[in-house]
Amino acid sequence: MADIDVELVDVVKRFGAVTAVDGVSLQVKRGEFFALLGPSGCGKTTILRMIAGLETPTAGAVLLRGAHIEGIPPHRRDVNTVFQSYALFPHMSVFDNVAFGLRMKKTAEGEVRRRVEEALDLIQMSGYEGRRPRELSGGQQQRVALARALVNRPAVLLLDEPLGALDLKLRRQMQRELKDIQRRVGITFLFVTHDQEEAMSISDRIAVVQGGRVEQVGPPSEVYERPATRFVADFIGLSNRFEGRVVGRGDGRIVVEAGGVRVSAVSGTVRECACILVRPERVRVGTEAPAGVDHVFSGAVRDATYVGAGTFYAVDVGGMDVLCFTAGNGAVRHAEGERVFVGWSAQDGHVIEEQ
Amino acid sequence: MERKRDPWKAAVTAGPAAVWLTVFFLAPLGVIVIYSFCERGTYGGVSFRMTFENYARLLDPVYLQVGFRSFRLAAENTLLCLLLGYPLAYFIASQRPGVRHVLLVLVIIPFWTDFLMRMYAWMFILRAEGVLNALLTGLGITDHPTELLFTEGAVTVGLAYGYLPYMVLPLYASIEKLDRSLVEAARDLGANAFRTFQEVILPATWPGVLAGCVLVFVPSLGAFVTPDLLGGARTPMIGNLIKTQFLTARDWPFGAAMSLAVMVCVAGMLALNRLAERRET
Repeated sequence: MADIDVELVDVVKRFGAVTAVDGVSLQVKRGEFFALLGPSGCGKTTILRMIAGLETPTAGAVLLRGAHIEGIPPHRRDVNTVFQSYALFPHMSVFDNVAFGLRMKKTAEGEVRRRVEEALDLIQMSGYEGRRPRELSGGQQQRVALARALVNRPAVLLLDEPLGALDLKLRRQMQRELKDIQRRVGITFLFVTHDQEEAMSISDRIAVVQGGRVEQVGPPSEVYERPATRFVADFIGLSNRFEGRVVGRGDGRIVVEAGGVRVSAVSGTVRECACILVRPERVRVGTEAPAGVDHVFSGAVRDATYVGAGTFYAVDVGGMDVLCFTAGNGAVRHAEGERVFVGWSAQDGHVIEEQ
Repeated sequence: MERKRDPWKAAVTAGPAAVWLTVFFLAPLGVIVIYSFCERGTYGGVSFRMTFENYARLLDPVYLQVGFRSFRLAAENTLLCLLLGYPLAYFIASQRPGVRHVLLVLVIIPFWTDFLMRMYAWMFILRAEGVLNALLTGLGITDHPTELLFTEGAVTVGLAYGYLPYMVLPLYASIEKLDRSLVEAARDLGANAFRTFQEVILPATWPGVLAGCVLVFVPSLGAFVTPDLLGGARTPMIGNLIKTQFLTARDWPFGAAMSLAVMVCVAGMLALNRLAERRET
């Protein structure tokens, strides 16, 4: 297990009567961009703070590169944090902020200068050495906070909603930059966010956290395409869910009856009830019945929402909304009230294995 | 949006205090300035003849010595209050809001009793037959009562007791505003508790330290009740000297010159302080 940088084993954290983290086990590999994704209050920041040493776990083990670090104070852990509020020292220049960690380690001043300049160059902030944090924009402060942590070359960099305070456009740009910087420095990034799009677009793997527990860990495509629980399916992206009794089985498939329709999906597990998930972009929609699919239903368009990259349709099928997405073409093709056909194949469905 | 100047608004908000300060502060101050350049009347009072004699007399070693002692005692007291007050203010600021308020009330509770009464209480504690001596001999730490009252130590104790709240309150205000994530960031970046205090907490709370020091230093310098009651005749401070000139020696012009000299010194120190601060930022 030499290539595991962070490992949590059954970690529990209670604040008085409140259990913030409830038995979390995780492994973050070396050089990985790992996201902890979940709604606010789910315990993801507490997990991060326990790795940083800013909180002490009530129970369980925290390991950094194989060594137990539960009792080690934050200033002697080989991890650094980018705080949500940046927490730049207001009375120090950009240079002194970035140099802080190196100076605490009594690095020679020549080496400090070289590495600070290198770090400022990495985040494209050369020339700002003498500025005070309050003289910088939010995006610039964010970069300095990143440089201040990265310059120490920690084993793991912890990022607590680092882009949360930025506006959407800057946020997207910083996401790309963060990913690029991570590739270049090769340091393990452990990233906390509540923004599923952000987690999907920059991480190698995502842990979806809910109620102090990890619901699922996997690469973005797996978490999206094959969510392990209803919560994960709901939290990440939009979906159609068909939940009900299993009325047929065979050929490696199951048939579920839900809301008056019968839907099939690929599943080897034998069960009484099941939940089948179909993502909107898997559903084909047209004025004629689509060919070569397992399921075709007809209904009236109840709502059409144009989102630029395509259009979302909510089609009323026997009192139940089926959500579909068609990409491109620049315009809404089906008006509200229009009768259309929707269809998909059994392979497009995913059976949520949660009981 | 352009802000309209409304003379009535200014008159209503700042007017009353301005009138009050003019009548009861600026006017008497002007009188003091004039007196300080006058001669003493034959039977006390003031004789309006211009002279610099009063200021020249200030350079007499007897008065300079009292002046130095006052500055030293005030500086010592300020340092003592800072050393006692900072940890206390930090402790209060790190409590839950409810507990914080109770502790703050405890800090200002002494103000509910008259200052003079509290100084008499200290006399009762410190004198040879007093509570402290009884305790010390009772515990066998000393075998006979020690003279505690009417010493410089007694003045220091009294001043520190009297002015500690003036240090704690501004310190609390600035420590309470301290962004805790800055402390966490320093720890995260490898600073131990001492370095975190030195590099981050102290600089961030510096305005509170300065405010507290000014609030303690200035009144300590002019103190006269505490050195009178706890220091006796042996350790007079400038305040006692000024009071004597006005009330006993009836040399009002000299007393006025002495008061102004102290004021100028304090104002000069504050100005230097401001200058140093401005250079830093």
